[in-house]
Amino acid sequence: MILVIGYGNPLRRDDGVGWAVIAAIQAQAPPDVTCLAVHQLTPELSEAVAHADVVILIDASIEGEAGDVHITPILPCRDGTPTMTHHLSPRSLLDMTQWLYDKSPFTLLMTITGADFGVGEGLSDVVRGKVAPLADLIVWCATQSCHADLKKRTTDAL
Amino acid sequence: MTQTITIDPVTRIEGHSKITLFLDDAGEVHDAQFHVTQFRGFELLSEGRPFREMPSLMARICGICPISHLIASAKACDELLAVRIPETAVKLRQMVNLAQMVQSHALSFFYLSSPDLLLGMDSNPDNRHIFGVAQAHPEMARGGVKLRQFGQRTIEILAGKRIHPAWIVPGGVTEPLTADRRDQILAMIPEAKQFILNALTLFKARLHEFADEIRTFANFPTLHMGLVTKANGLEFYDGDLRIIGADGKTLVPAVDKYHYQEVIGEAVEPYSYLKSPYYKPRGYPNGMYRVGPLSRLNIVSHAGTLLADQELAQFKALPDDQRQSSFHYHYARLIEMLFGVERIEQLLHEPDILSTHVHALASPNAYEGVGISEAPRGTLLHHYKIDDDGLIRYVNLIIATGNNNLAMNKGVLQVAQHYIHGGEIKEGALNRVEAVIRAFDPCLSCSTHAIGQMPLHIELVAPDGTVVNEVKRG
Repeated sequence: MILVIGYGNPLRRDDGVGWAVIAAIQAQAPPDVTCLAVHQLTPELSEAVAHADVVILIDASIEGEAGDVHITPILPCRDGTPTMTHHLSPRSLLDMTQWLYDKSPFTLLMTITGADFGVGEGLSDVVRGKVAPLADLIVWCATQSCHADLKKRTTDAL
Repeated sequence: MTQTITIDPVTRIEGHSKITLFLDDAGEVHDAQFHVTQFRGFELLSEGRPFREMPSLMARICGICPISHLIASAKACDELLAVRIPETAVKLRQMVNLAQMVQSHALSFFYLSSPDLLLGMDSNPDNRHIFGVAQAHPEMARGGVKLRQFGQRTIEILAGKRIHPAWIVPGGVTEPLTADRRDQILAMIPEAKQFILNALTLFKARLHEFADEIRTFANFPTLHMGLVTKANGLEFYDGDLRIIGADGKTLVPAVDKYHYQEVIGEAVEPYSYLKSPYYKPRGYPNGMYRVGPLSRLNIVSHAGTLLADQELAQFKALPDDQRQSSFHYHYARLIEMLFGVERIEQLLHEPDILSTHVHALASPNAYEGVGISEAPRGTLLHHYKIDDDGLIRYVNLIIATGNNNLAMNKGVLQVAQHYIHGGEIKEGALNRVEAVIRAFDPCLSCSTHAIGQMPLHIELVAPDGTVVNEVKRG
């Protein structure tokens, strides 16, 4: 099972790109894909992560040029000493999952660099243009059961 | 020369604050201030808005406690409509309010405070957090995660989404409960109960390790305020707003909500954006009172569910001076979680819980409405006035955390005087100064209406105002 978690604030325009990708995936209703749209990564997600074969995290980024897409494999690692433990970094979420459930599924972090993080709904044109290709690739990979080379194929296609 | 210690930011709490400790010439702590350094001001933002927007607007005060504000706000709006909302809508609102309490208490107990309680106040700070608990006590951490999921999932099942749902509206709720969704919640209940009972067993077995903290963590006589049922049982949604003395005797059996300002004053201090409510007849600051889990359990005679009543009886058997200790907010939180899960189960078995009559429709029939409910952190009050067009002209909010402001300040002083000497802050002492605040589980985003996170800052200030020591964390 592929777990796709889009996270961010859809009321801050491009910060909501994760939610938009999730909606685009859900519209295709692919088998063997579980989708979650959340505001932030929390410890409660660790149980869902533990049950997945592959996890894909989709977030907005402020680094690079607007519309840049980066795909990075993530390994469990605690990021500093947490003081606000109701939200986590991607690596810390995996670290929590490993400690609680002794599971560490293959995980990719997909980020799309935003152009507009102002107050409001809707994505900038450049970010909106990345939503469908990303969703299609995730659905295609799930359909083809090509979990292992997901990163390579996604990178090539983009 | 007087010195000052500053702790900035305070960690593992909801919001942003700092603590200043004032030292005398001998290097002993003689005063303390808990500064809440964020400000938002929803009261003014709301003026001019249509009153029907208020529940959704007020929910935006906080991402942790949106349901609490939805409930109090909707109740104030019910008063503006002057309607009696359908009984099933009351029960559905009660359930979602209890689910909010369970998820919030789970966050406070397991995520924020269990590192102190399970790993020790003096344990290595590099590992004293939820990850450390996950390593050392994975069963307990999994239980915390599950309980938070229980609360959040129940909110999602009832209200459509976990954060900022638009289901609770003036006059009731927008959608009834279906049998399928009722059964989804019921299926989660046995496991949730068991996790809480496990946590209670572990917590009670370790209480003897915290005798010093029980004695010094904001342990002093104060008044207590909270809602109770007509039979003096535990109540979160409605009922009588009661104030009792430290001796347990009732001072005010039921505050008249439209005259609450005759009973509760709201003082302002220059060092904090958090208001300091007080019991007016005793003046400021002598009218200090506490709210929240500890106060609620001290006020009531019983909980109203089987297992919670058994646990409450044990809590009530503690010596009087221990039941005044704010350390026992943690204990009270566990008992309230148990009550919450049991009470949700009771409500789900009510014969009319699937009734489709859940919304009373009306136009405004009153110019003024006051809504009072129990948020996880204590009594929450929303007070609105509208004009002929239904537009908001006055808002006053008394937020749960604010009610505890005087006690939190005095609690910081008590802990600091006990653990800090000679102007030196040892790590364990620093943690205890924070932990006494953490025991109250303040939600500063709610109480000041702020932006941002909340780490901690302690300043040690000399008599001449010089900052001689400073610790920042988070």
